Amino acid sequence: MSDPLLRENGPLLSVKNLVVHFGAFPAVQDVTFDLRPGETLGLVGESGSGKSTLARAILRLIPATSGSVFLGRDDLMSCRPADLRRRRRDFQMVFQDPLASLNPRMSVGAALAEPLKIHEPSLSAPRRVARVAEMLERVGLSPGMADRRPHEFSGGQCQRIGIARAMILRPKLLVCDEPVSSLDVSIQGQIVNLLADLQKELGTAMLFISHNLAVIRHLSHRVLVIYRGRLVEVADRDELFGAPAHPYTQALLAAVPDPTRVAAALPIAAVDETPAAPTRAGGCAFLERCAYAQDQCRLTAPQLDEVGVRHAAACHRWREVVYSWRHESRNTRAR
Amino acid sequence: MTPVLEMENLSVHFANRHGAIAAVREATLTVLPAECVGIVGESGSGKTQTFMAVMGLLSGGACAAGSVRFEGREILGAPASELNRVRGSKLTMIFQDPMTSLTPHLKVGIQLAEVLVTHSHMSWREAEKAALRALERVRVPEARRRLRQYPHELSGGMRQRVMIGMSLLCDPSLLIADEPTTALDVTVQAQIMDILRTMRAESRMAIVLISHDLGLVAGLADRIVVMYAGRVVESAGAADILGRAVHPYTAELLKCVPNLRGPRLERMPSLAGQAPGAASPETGCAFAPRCPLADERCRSERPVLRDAGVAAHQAACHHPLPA
Repeated sequence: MSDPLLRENGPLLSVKNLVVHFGAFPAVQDVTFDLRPGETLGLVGESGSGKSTLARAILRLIPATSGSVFLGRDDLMSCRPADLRRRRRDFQMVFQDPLASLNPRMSVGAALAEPLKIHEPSLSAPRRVARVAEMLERVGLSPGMADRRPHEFSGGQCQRIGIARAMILRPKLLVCDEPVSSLDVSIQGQIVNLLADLQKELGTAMLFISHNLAVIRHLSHRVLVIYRGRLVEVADRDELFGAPAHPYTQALLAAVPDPTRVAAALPIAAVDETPAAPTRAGGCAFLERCAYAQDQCRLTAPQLDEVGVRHAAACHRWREVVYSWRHESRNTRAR
Repeated sequence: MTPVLEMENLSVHFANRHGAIAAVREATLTVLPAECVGIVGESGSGKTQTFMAVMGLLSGGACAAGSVRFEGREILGAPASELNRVRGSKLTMIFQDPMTSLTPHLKVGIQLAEVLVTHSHMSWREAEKAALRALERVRVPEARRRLRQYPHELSGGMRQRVMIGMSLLCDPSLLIADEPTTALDVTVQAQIMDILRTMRAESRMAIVLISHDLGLVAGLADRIVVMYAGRVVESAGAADILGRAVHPYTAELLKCVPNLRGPRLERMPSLAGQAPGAASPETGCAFAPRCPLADERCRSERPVLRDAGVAAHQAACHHPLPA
């Protein structure tokens, strides 16, 4: 079945040169990427790097300063408000704090029925109740729980409800903003597996935001790394984790604690905060924290360039960066 | 060697209109001088309340029973005047959110110096010099300028460094760090852990590191204590916990930690169900409903913490895995 929304073999979501400014502060700078139907794109970065802002601008929850966002053939940036509201059923979001994103005075059944009332008004009340029950069951809750209120559920259950509400309209794009960060480790897997199953079943494309690289590695087909509002590396999963070409990606990977390994030295300078704005114009934004920086990095900002197959990085010295990672990994294996 | 901290059968209860809620149940543990003990557990396991009781910082409705000895002296239930002689000097604690631990309307330098004026009876001038040295020790860049800044002018990582610096001012014999890096980015977390590691190597300070993150604890702890539903369920050397866990909960929890290396699994491992709430009555083993090995005995008879057959390795389980 061909989808009238999509161009033949085209991407589902196409973001081009997206810029978001908060006053004079550039939160997202010149971000470009594509997301294909059924694909999961991981978005990694530190707090303040602009990952949530990027997601919100794509969904037009906040205004973008410039750039374009195409969902299939439609430009969401120039969509009229009434059209946008109609199109919202195609792109839904799951938030970090599931309890805060549910109305405490609304029963779970009513919260799930609301999107159906708005977007499928022709649906009869009994059919709507049936759809809600079916969705609750699909996310691993019993349909009998529809009368309860959010505070009666645990964190993991609340996130299941958040996912049910986002997926009940069968959106084409699901944006998940740190959906497992507030959950216990023993529960995280349940939620990640649920998202993966629903995606396989419904063919939804996912933009999955997380600061947890291990979760990103588990779920994503392709990964974007964002630093200070700019994409610094884009690659397919195995390529990114096997041969990271940006020093920032390497620093993130090296910093993840691992119960099987004693922590190694960090290839990152001890500047702990990400300064609000680059201290000098023209140079690389990662300069102050980079162990590889040279004169060239002080003078010109690197562009996102091809460094391998479907692999791009914004670093003047990516060859040395990849080489040293390979060398280091080989030594670790030999030890 | 006298232990720094000896805790015996510590219980913490909260009273509310539905009756008593048990947050900590008969926790027993010992911390030796210069030792780092990691306390691992999920939310609600009682790990924080255990050490709030040690510090005498439990909230109003809570009551603690049992015994806590710090450097040989009983401190559980001691009056505040007596506690304040060791609290903040020899026995210190840092928290997850350093913003709420610092006073928002006082400059960082004054808050640091105050500790020394109070506990070591230094003059303000001397104390400020010592505060500067303390910030330099925890690698705060531009330490002199930071002393004149307010907490809100610092980043989260910088505030946590200030808290660590403050907790080390009086040369403590025990530092309790409760999720010190949970609110921070991974790169900053790695730097904070590196500072704790260095501080520990430089002094004979013991550390209790409370965390939900096994990987993080593994990087620092000599010994790891695992808590579940208010009880200590396993305690052993760090390598034994990570490599030869005998309690099924510890073993399952380790499987759940997503890995960056190693093969990528098709399904992400997780534990079905959830931990029982602190209000639920305790019959048998609290982990039984989620345990793959549970039988009738586990559901009716509570297992006690006992030796697991190898030195210094204890577990509370009727069906321990082979060590």
